[in-house]
Order: sequence, then C-alpha cells, then structure tokens
Amino acid sequence: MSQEAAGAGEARIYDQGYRPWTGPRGAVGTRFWIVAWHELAQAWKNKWFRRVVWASFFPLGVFSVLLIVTSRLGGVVQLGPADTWVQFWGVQQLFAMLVVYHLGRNAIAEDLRTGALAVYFSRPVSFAQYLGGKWLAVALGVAGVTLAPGMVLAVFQALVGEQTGPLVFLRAALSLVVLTALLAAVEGAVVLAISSLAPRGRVAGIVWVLVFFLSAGLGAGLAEASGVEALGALGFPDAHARLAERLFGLRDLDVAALWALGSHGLWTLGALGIVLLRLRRWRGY
Amino acid sequence: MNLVECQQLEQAYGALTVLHGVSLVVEPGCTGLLGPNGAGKSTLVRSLLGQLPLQPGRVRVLGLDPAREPLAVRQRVGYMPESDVYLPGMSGLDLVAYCGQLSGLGRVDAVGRAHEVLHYVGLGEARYREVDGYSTGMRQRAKLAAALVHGPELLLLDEPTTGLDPGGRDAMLELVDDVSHRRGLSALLSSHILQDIERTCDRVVVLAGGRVAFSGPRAEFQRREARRVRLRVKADRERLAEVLRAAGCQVEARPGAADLEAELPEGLGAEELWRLARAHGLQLRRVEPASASLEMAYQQAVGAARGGGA
Repeated sequence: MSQEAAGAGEARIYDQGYRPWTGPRGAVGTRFWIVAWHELAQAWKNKWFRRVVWASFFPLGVFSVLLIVTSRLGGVVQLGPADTWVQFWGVQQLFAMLVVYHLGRNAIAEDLRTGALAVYFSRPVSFAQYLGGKWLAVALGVAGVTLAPGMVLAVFQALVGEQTGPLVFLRAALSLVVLTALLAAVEGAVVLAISSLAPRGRVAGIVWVLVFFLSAGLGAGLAEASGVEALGALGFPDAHARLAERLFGLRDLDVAALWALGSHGLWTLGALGIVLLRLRRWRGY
Repeated sequence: MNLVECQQLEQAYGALTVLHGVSLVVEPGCTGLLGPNGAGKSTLVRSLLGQLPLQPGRVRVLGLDPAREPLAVRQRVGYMPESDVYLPGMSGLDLVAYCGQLSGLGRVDAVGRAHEVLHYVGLGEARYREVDGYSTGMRQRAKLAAALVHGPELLLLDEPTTGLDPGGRDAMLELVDDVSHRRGLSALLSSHILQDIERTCDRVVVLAGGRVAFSGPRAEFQRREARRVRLRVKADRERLAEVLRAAGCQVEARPGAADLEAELPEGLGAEELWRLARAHGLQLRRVEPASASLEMAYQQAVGAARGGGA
C-alpha cells in the first residue's frame, strides 16, 4: 500500500484510494486450475468432506495387514494379492462416490442458481476452462481417495508382499491410475450433468446417490431379465469391479471388460451432452 | 485513443434484432449509456465483452476485437453486472480475491489487492463476512470491488445503483465518479436513471429501440436540446410555422396541439422570435424551452429515435 511519511515521529497517512494494478498476470490458459482449486478449497470447508477423505485412508491399514497375512500365511489364508487389490478397490470406490457427491453436487447447480456464471464469463475464463476446472476438481478429489491410499498400498506391497519388486509396484500403480481416470471421467461427467439440471446443489447430491445405486440395480435387473450377464456393466459399481478384476489380474481381459468400458463411454458421453445442452447459452464464451 | 469503437453493429437473438447498425465511440473518462428498458444496453455491453457470437459490424474494445479475442478483452476490462451475482459460502475477501485470480493475479497478489479494493469501496470492516449475508448495497460494492481488483483499463457498469437506497446510491456514484475522474480509469455506465448519468458522466450515448439516438458530450446533448423551444401563438399557428421555417427553424406542429415546437438554428435567439412574429403581424403568447433538463432532453431523443425507427 502506498504511503507518505509525514515526518519523523509523526503518524503516517495511508492512501486507501484505488490504484491501478501493474504487477504480473498469469497465462490465460491455466485458469482451469484456479477453478479446480477453488472448488476443492470450498469443499474442504465442509467437515463431512474432510471426514470422508480421512476415512478413505482407514482401509489402507486393514489391507496392509491383509497383505502381510497373505504373504506370510499363504497356505492358510486363501486370498491372493489380486483378490486383495480388487477388494481394496471395491471399498475405495465407495469413498470416491462420496467425494464425487461433495465436489460435484454444487459445481454447476449453485452457479446457475446464484448467477455466478456471469462472474466467470465476464473474466478471462473460457467455457472449456470453466467446465474443465469443475471436472478436474472432481477428478483430483477422486484421486485423493483412490490413488493416494492405493499408491501407499502398492509401495507397501512391493516392499513386504508375497511378491516384491518394482514390477509388482508398477503393475499395481498403473492399474490404479487407469481405474482412477476411468472412474473420475464417468462419475465426474455424470455428477456435473445432474448438477446442471438440479435447482439446488442439495437436490443434485441426492439424485447422484440415487443414480449411483439405481444404476447398479438397473444393470443387475437387466442382466437377470435378459440373461445377458454383460448388461450388469450398466451399473457403476459393477463396471468398476469388472475393470478392476481384469486390471489387477484376477481375470483375463475379455468381452465383459469391453462392456464395462462401453458402459463408461455411454454414461460419459451422455452426461457431457446434457451439460453442453444445459449450458448452451454459455458454450461460446 | 478511443476505448470502444462500434461501427454498424448488429446483434440479434434468433429472429429478434436487438441492435440495428449501432455506431459509437467511447472516449477516456466516464460515458453514460442511457436508454429505456429493452433499448439494447445490456446486449451492447455483452457484445463488448465478447459474450455474443460474431455478427455484422465492427467492434473494437481497447483496440481488440471482442468477438475474436474475448479473453484478452476481459483481461483488461472490469465488468459489474446488473444482476445479483455471487458465489455462495464465500466471504467478501475470498470472493474478490478469487475474481482477481480468475483475472490472472497470483494468489498472494489477489488477496493483497482484494484487501485494498474492499477498503476503497467501503467494505473494509465487512470483508471477512459471508457475501450471502450482505445487504443489497454491500453486494453492489462487492461487485464493484470484484470489477476493480485486477486493475482494468475500462469499467463496464451495468445499472450499478439498482436496488440502492438514496444514501447507498450517492456513495456508489461517488465511487464511480472517483475512479473515472481521479484514478485514471475510464467507465461506461449503463443506466436508465438520468440523475446517475447527469452526476457522473462527461459523455452520453442514448440508445432507443436498438439505435443510437445521440452520442456526444453531455453538455452538447443538453445544449442541443436547449435550442428547442415551444411557442404559443394567439391565432394562425400554420402561418407562424411558415415564418419560422423561412427563418431556418425546424418546426414541428403536432395535430390538435395548440403549441408549436421549433429547433432554432445557430445565431437565432429566442428573443428574435418575438420580433419576427411582430414583423409578420402575429401575436406570440409564450416562448419557453422545450427541454431544459437532461430528462427532457433524453425523452426528446428517445421519442425522436422511436419515431424514426417506427
């Protein structure tokens, strides 16, 4: 703040008037990071979001013990490393669903309700950066509860597991990265679509939880009624589980994995279409 | 250098044309964008921000084409929207700092600037409170702070005094006057409240029906309209109209009205009219300015534009 010294021993007079900004400015192309970090910071203020994140590290302890047990007592405990990873992923994807709930429900619904889109699009932020930032926030949140504890577990496995070494770590780490990216893509897109249609963030949150569980029921129901087991992949949990089983090496890559990928693609593209349609007025910004 | 230049700008929403060949310039200082509701003011402002697709016509804001380089324009322009916009769950400081970050300032710089501009707009004490709990006047000030935080060269203010009580309105206009006349910043103030324009602006652009009814210095706007007089004659109104036309006046004689309205040419004063009438054997009863205030001038200009556009 500019100031003038009135003289030694006298009080300074501070100019609180407006002054132009002549300092540096960041590149326009990086504004999606600003949007994403803002979303994460806002969510972090919510104690339930913080609890979900902390709680997501609890299974890490349990599965670390399981890894030790399976490596030391392989003949007694009928649970291989791949089983452990699949079960670990099954638990973490529930935490991911809760993180998606917290980060995604308000993302667009509250901006539409409060007119905040005018805040973004009167500034050097493009539509793609806005939407990319909102999605990135969800993706980073998901990575925080799946990838972060997963990587720690992978390191642990590489050090003390039944099979040790860098290749073991790489296999687990790559699988985790791919699964996290797929989960973030599909669930991030779906929650943003729901948020863009909902009148309030709270409503979007409820609808998201319903869609998550109902999609599983719908997939299972269709699979049973039609006798085509692959249709179960329409549900998020089932599709995630199928992909996890293949990537962690519990099963070989087969048509079921393709069905799961196809289901993810359909959900993602459909959700993206809904968002673009809902925000068509702002699309050219 | 002109801050804004529009040449034959057209804007349409589907089949509805909102701006019809708008041509205007905005010079440094404070310019008022006047017009009734639906005149196309907000559409013009959105065009300047590059928020509307490319349409016929040419627009330059700070030398840039907003339709082709919208982000570069928005980097250098501060916009205060008319509607009540805010991000829920944020304090005034967080909101303004976030707006600074979105405009390219680093986190530390943005927070520092947010403190400064919030003090400047009079929200220094309330800056840690959530914006959701602000009064209308405080939200307007917060919006102004958000428009100022990144140090724009041009401010676009869309109805900045909407919803304010007289005290709040005074304070807001004082701030607009200060930034545009003493802080080296230029402003385009869109409003339908004439007193706001009269108090803060050096130049006026009047929009009516999507057309420019007047563009120029405010004083000229009022002076031009001050040359319009209303006359009442005892009898033979048509003959007086002929005499005035012969003297170079533009005369308007509305059917059924007892009065005549005339725009006097340069060099012909109102006192000359009495002599002219006497010389032709006509008895003038009254001569008075047809539009003395900015409000009357505005109504004349808007009325004329609507008549021309109809």
